[in-house]
Amino acid sequence: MVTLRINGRDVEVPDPQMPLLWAIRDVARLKGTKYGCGIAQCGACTVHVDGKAVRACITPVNDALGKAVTTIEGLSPEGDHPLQRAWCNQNVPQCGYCQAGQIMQAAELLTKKPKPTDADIDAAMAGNICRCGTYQRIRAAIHEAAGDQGGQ
Amino acid sequence: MFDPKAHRDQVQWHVQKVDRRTFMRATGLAGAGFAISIYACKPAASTTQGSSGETSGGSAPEPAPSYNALTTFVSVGSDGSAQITVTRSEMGQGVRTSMAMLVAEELGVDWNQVRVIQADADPRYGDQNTDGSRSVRLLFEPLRTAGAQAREMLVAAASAQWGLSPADLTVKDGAVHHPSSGRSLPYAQLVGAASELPSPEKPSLTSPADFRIIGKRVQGIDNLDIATGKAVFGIDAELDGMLHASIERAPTVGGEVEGYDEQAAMAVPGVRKVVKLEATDAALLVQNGVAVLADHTWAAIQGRVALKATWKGGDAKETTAAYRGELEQAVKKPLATVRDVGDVDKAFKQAKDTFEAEYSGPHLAHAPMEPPVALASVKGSTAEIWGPIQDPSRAAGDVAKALKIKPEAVTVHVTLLGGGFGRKSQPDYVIEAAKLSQAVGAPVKVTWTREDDIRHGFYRPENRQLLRAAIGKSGEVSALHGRSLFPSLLKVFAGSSAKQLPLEVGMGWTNWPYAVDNMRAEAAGAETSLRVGWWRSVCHTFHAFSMGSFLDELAHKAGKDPITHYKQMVGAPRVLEFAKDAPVTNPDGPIDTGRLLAVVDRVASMGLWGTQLPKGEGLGFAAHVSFRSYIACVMHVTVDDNKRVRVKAVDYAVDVGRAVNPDGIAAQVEGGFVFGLTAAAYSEITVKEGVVQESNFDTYKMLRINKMPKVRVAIIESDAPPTGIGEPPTPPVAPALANAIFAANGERIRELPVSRAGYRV
Repeated sequence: MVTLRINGRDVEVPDPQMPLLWAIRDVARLKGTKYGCGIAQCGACTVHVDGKAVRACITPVNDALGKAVTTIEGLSPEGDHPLQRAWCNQNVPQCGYCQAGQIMQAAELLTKKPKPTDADIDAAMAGNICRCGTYQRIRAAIHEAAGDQGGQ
Repeated sequence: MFDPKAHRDQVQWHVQKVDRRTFMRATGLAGAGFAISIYACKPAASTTQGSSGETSGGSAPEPAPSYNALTTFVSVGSDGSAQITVTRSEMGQGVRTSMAMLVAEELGVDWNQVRVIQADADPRYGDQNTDGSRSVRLLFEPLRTAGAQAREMLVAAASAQWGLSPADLTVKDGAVHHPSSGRSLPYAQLVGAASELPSPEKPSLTSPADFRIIGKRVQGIDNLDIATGKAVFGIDAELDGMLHASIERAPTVGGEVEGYDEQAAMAVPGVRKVVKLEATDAALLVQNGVAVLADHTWAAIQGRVALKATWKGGDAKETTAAYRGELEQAVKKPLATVRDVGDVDKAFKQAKDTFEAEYSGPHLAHAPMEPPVALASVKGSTAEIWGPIQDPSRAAGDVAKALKIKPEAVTVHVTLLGGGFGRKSQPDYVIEAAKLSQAVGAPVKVTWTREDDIRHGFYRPENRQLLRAAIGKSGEVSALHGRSLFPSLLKVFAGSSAKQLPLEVGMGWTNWPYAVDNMRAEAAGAETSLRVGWWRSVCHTFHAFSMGSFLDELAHKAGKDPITHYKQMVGAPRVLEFAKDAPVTNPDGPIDTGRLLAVVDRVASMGLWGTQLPKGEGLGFAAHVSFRSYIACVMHVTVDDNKRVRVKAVDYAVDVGRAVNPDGIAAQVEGGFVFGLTAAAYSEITVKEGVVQESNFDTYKMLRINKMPKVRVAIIESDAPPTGIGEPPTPPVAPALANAIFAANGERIRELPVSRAGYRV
């Protein structure tokens, strides 16, 4: 047993080699973080470890010990992070499955670049697949959350 | 110490069984084909928290209101909220939003007052199968009627309370108003009395001119739950005592287990059981496999690797290169004639010139972001299922058959679908979960890995078309002749793909909307070693690609502007019924060429078409009618000397009849474009001796945000009945891309994906 800290709460995980994704989903039973590929190709499992966006599906629990893991449930206590509000305003979600990962990735981007250009967004978000094809709205929502009309 | 139980209570709300007494009432809804029933809800959290996914229009969990039902689809809560039951599955097409809009419009509530509850599989809801881009088309009238019935019951209750004529009362924002006295009563205070009143058979519907929700921009009903991670997909369903299963399946369809190391799997910490899963039905819905059941998904996956299972037999006939060669030979010979107009042979004999070309496309996987997954709890002769399911009634029936129990003993709760695209119409994964739960006597959740999803799909089939045109004396196309060869979807039900369904050839083949005197369409099925299925827009994808490319080739051959040529091919505005010359049922219905021409004209005027471009850039046009919707698309690409392609911008014009949810329509066009471009650019399932070679997003690539062009969408204003939008934006993409590349560099691509010709999008 090892102890992980997720969204400010301690969680006992039986196997330190277990990917963070399954520890979050099946042990901590936080379901917002999604499985998509298991090989860091799609970004559906993106969470923050000490503020850095990581692919939870290939990150062993071991690598996150002693660090702060933040999932979509912990991004903002009231669910009103500027990105979450912008995601709603822009009608970004279609099926919605990948969007927690998209938002977590975008949140890291905004901490690094509060006013990202389209090129910044494309570079930061290219690891996150949306099969529904919501990319145009993801760009618009990130610009909205950044407080600009953005684009180009 | 973090308490998982406390969290479980939050994430498990959706699996609570609804306990409600149902009183069926035989008031038929005139002409709508289903009965209205009234049921009383217990005013407790267990009823208001829905069976599989109630979602509020925006707020965090709060004290649950109690609901009183007015019709099958409408309840009003003690807090004034309207709870609308949606009977179709949400997979990203926005159906929970659009269905709720229809009811809410007539009910007279504000959009913020709307909550949606997802219906279980239940015969009283009629057909719940969610495919064919038909939910809004088929339910536009019935759901408005349901909302209007509830409204008239509420008005009648107010009328009785006030002693006033209903004609003097109005409704707005969830209240009945008496304008001349200024009095009003909120629905919450009226619903108790209203629920005792008879439901009017023919309520009056709101005039479109007075619509306050239909045709307006609203926020998606599940937006906030999705953005905060609270939305419940199939993969999120849980039950106490549940085991997580991962299944190693035969790599060939019909393959059998040769051996596996059960002890090694059981030695993995957390693994509880190893169960052999047997294929049972002729259509091979469930494949032979070995399941590892464990305390958590990771242990199940590791145990599965430890099995080192070996396999024998199965259908190993197909290998891609040889298979393509077979289709290429077969399409050169006559196939079955499915439409014959005029005298094609004579026209070819008298032709001044002829032109012929062949087009092909590969097997394609759906690859929804949420892979197939289902939770089943089988107890004795009853089964309860939770999952992302497009056709819950079929799933219930197939589970019953597999478990040898009665269909009515199977309860199917539909969660949100993390994408569907046709894949989740097939209930194989649901049956797997049910069989495993029956075998071990505990709830079981089966989660497919991405590799499972790519390798064990129901693929859009590999296909090939040959098209011929005769050019007459004055340069007109005097005859059009085509052959289409593709494995039939019938394999899903009958185990063979050799014989096609009329429905399939009716998709973009027997319904060519062209003003050509002589036309013959031929078609035939073909066997394949893989399982096949319907994939966003089904046969329209390949028929739109071949015809959309061929018409562009004819235009260039004639030295004409492709859009001018296309409009000449379509001819005068008229309504084509196809009944006389195509001896098949046409699922798409008639085609109004006037509406087709209108979207073509609209897209041509949006800005891209007609612009002068430098060398290495090109514009591609394509138009297609599917699911009764008219779609035209113009694509702007750049192509460099190394065949690097960049799609810079796309214009779309769409006619979907009345636009119920305009922003949702735009979203579907954007998404349908991405789906089509992904396939045209990258997607190809290849096969070696019956075994699929691709396995994950590294080998089956997806379009990413850095390739996303600006997509503009023009929606034709119309008061025609609404039609579909989930699928129609996809078919024109591949031909528009190929046509644009040709315009940029003069190379014609006739085989998809374009990567086969060395192009990198």
